[in-house]
Amino acid sequence: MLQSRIICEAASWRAELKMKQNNTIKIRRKRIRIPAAAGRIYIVISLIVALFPIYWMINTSFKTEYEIYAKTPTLYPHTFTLDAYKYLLGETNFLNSMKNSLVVAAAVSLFSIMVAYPVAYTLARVKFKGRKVFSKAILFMYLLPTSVLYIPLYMLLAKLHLTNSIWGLAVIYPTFTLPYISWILIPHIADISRELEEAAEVDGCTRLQTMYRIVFPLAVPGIASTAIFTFAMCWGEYLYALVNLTSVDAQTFPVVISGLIFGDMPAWNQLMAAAVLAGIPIIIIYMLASSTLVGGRTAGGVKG
Amino acid sequence: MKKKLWALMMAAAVTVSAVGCGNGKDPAKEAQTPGQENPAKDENSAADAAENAGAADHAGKTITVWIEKIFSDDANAAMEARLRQFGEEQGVTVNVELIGATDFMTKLNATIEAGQNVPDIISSSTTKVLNYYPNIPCLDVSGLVEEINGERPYITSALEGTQIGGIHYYVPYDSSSCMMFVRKDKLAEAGITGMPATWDEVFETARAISDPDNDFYGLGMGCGENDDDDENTLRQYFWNEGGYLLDAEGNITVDNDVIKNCVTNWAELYHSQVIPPDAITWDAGGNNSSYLAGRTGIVFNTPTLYNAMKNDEQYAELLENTAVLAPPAGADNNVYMSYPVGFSIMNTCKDVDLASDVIKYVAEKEWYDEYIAKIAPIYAPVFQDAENSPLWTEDEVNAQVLKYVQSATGYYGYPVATISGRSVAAKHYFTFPVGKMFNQVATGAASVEDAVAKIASDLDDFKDMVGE
Repeated sequence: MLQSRIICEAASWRAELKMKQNNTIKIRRKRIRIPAAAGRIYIVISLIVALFPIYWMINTSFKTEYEIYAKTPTLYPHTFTLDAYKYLLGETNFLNSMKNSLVVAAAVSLFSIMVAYPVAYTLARVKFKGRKVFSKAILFMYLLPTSVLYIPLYMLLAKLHLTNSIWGLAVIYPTFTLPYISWILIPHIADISRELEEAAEVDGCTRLQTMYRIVFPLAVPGIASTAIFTFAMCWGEYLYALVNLTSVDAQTFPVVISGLIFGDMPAWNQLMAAAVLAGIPIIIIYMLASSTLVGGRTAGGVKG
Repeated sequence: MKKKLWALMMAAAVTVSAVGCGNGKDPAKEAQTPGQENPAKDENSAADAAENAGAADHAGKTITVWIEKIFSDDANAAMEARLRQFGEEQGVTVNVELIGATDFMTKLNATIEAGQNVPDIISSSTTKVLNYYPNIPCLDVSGLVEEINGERPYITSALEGTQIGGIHYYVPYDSSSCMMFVRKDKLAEAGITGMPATWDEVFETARAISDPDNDFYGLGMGCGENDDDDENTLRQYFWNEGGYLLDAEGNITVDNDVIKNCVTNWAELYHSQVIPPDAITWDAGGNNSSYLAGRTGIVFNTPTLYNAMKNDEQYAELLENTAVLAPPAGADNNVYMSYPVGFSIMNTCKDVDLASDVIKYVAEKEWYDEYIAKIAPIYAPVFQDAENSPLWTEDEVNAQVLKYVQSATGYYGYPVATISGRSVAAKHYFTFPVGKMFNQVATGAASVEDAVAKIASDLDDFKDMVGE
């Protein structure tokens, strides 16, 4: 009797459990449908949050000091003025400093890609003793803060007589761009199919030819995105430029922007105008490179 | 084993980097016992140079001067032109570098640490000099100051207030101030006819004109994390009432009733909405922004606030309704915080005669007076004859600024007299501890006793750091 009761209860539990499981499965299978409008609203809110600081920067750059310091902030300039831009472009060396930044950032980015690509390829593809140590050393170098290095690097440049020259910056910026590019490119290259390289070797390609003719085109999207970030790193670099550049003619734009701050009443419209102008080259470069970011891999694959 | 080896390699790399940061020279030794080529070997070298000034032939020499940029492009350009003029007249190559105030110390530290490209003359101040104690890299220029003082006497506060341990490490040149800005129209609306002259009157007036329902507060005196403006004002407030963080010998005296009363009083004003609710989050721009926005009735600021109103016609009405006055006195005294600036000769300077002549050239009376007129009232002269100058007596604001400079004998750590004590106070100052103390009590984050104990403990730590 007892045995049959136990069997019955067990059966009942099993049935109950099965029901629960079925319900759970049903619940799991049930798709939550978000209305399209809600999705769009979410995207719009996200865009507002992301773009509002940029809007505010542009908005402030066209305001008068009076309006900036007003009790109630204004969403658009009630008194539209180009004074801040006129001051920057007419009274300071801002344009020249932009040119200096552009030259340094472009030169360093190009040089760094040229040097870091073989490094990344080697660490991704070639098996040799100490490969892991090298990889970790690159990461270690990348993690070194600039505040630790700026004095030794200043001493180095002084010995090379390159202080107060943008070419001095071109010598020291690779200390942070090379580890960055190498570290980022390693997984990009490792992702590319080895069979393509083996096929190239069978066709008679040397290692160097494989590296540049087969793998490089396939790695272009990764290289392009890394180059953009590298450019941005050099473009906005402040500490090394501050310490090493003194004369007005050699200054890069972050140093000029910093020089706009006097005491406790900074001219916010000038600072914001400088930030707006400084953002333009990065936006242009990103727009020009965006087609490469999308199409590069496909182009390489077709070739392969 | 591999891990240990790896760790060892990393440690070695860090050690090598750290060693690389130094230049192998002891700045202290350099400062105190300059080498053979260093003209600073003679402790009166700057004084001797001053005596020989004018007779020296400097043709073909080179000198580097780092000037800290000030608010006025015209004034910066004038100073640069004056230095270059010296070069042309004397046949000297003068390298003038104008450097932003926020960047100055970082650049200077890099050159000093590297032992390379250190300028010969820098824009200097008491805080800059004390920042390097005990390895002060500036020469004793007491002789040069004495000579300039002999020709054109300094205001007593400027002469004595710029000495550090009885020595002048820089030649006083001009001085900034922190004035009291009062909304005359708001006082008139409240039926108040006289301007507040004591701290008690300031608080009483502020209460009378406050209208928090309409977002108007009587007193714009904040205590945000990085509000150095009000850090100075709060210190001045308890000095004037007779409370000090340190005594003349450098003993910690912060645990006193005067300071506790001041902190409690400020917190009470804050809770009564006499002070804006956001004042606890302000930075140095908080008080002037609030004043320009018409939210506060009394603030303490450098005359940059006055210039902002004067240079923009949209502030004409606000300027018309503003009185610019020297700050109030307390129950005990009316000591003001001094902000003198001047020129130091670095101990790596190879030609102290030349450096001394450059400084004297920019201090030459006729040109100096023209220059000061360009930067008035933000910077005031440090010479006694300003008392007879129409520019500084007939203009109301300038007269108040001059009055301030004449009474400005306070400094970080006042009244501590020892050089190590002043160094402790200066280093401690840059953590903005007084503002934090007021902030913690006002926000209820700490009791008055705990906040005071924290300052005492921090001061103790800084004493250990300086090795006092």
